[in-house]
Amino acid sequence: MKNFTYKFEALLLLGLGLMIFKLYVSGNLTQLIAPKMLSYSLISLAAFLIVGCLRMKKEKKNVHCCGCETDQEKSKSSLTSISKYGLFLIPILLGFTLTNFTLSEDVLAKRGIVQKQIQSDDSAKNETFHQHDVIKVDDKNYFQVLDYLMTNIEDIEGRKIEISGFVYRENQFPKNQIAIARLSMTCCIVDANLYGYQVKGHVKKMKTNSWYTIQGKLTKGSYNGETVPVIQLITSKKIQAPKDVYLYEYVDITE
Amino acid sequence: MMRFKRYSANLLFFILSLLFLGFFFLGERFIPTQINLSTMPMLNSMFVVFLGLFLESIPFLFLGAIASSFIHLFISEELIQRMIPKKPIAALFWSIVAALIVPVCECAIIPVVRRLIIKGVPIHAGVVLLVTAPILNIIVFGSTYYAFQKNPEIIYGRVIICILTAIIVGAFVYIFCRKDIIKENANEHNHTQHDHFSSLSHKLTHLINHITDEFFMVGKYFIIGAVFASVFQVCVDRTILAELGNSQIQGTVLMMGIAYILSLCSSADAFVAASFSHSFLPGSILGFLVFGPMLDLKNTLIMMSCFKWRFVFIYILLVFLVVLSLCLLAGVWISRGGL
Repeated sequence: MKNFTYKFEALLLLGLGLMIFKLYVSGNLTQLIAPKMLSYSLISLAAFLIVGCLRMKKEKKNVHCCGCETDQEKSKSSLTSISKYGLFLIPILLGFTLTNFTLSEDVLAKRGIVQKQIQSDDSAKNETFHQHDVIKVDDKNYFQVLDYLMTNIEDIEGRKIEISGFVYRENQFPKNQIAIARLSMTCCIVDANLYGYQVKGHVKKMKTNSWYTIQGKLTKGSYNGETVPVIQLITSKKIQAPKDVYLYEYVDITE
Repeated sequence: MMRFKRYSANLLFFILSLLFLGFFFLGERFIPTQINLSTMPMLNSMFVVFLGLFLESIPFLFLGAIASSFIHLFISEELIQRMIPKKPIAALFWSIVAALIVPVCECAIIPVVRRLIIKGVPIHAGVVLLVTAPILNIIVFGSTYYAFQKNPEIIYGRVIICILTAIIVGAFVYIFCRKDIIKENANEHNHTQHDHFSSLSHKLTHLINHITDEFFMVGKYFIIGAVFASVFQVCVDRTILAELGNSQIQGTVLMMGIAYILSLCSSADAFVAASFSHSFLPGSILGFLVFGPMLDLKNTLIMMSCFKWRFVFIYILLVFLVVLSLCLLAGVWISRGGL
């Protein structure tokens, strides 16, 4: 029986390795964890495969190299050992079978839109926003713009903004209102935050969860009792979802 | 009979391997069409969160198992005893420094601390390591710094409260809790006799065995913890919680509770904390940032796999009370504007 337990453990380790491998190859791994965590996953993938293979190989010799790991534990009832190893089947099988790696709207609604300032007062960069006619928001300056708008909320009225994101609706939103939102992630999907701006205007036709690039005028509004920038919609254009769905907060302290 | 047993075991093994291979190649083809998950978005999100949590932590869990096995097999008790100062207070500060140097967070540290205590590190020093290692490292400091640039009291408060908690908890454990706290694992005993291994391949085999045993011992608890954490992640409505956060005491307890059930990695929780910062007081945010890394659902279960349950209970209670009172004090202090 001991041999069998060894083999079984080896199989589970190989299964974990294969699961990570499959997610990596299919590109789904970065939907679950941030790119900076990727190297750790790949190292663990290698470690799982190596340890799994070695564990598998050593079934015959050396089993009784010392008296310490004899059948005491293995003589426990098979029920407990089944439940012990059965637990590991959950992540393996989930990794093999899941196809949709996004959080549903209900879950996002429970997190709510985050509107906060995180960047330092980088006045040099803020100057550039003052100069432009249209504030163009992309992945790189997303948080800078958010910070700029939140700090200068009194002066931004009437400025034009161009931004892309997916359409997000909350239950209490009226019909002429949506939010143009992005998701951010630091380590993995568990710590995903929802960022976004409320958009008002002719938005009835814009589909929830579809991606749009919109242009609009900034005004002041409120969300959960806070004063926040709101966009009055001028034009909207449907776009393909980008390759990097997520924004990544904080990559390196030295940057 | 014996033969039959082996035969059926081999058959089971064979079937399982086929099953894995089948799922590997075709998993996403036939299962999702049989069970349509898109009609159950909550369940799907729960699976996604679970898998994310699992993938994020598993490298570090495995790393912890490797480090622990390595210490077990290659570092002698004498060496450890020589390295650690004899005086209890010196040992306490020694482990704070060790926590600063060792760049691991909560998933990896628990088995390592368990192993160190078995090897003769004083319990209170081990506990200090347990408390400080997840917060006192450069990555965690970096992300806190980035997320709270405009609130230096949070950045430094996190570090200071963490160190104070470590000293208080360490002193308490030193005075009151000197019994053995290690949960015995049935398939490992005193391994001192293993020094008779001479050949490298022997040692390697032994290392592999140990890593797997340790990994499966800790891993099963971790998975249970991750399942609970993902249920809460999906079910807890954070926007409602935010409305309750205005009072000092309630808010702090609430934030510590949220930190406990969300089970975020300590290098990422600063950003989630920042998302709460407009509806909670700074003291409560500190509660979230200090308590979360020290204790959460997933690492409580990891601790249960490593230490006696009685100790885990005392530890949780102690850390909770100390962090709560320190954060309340810090809250008063910050609101007065002094730092």
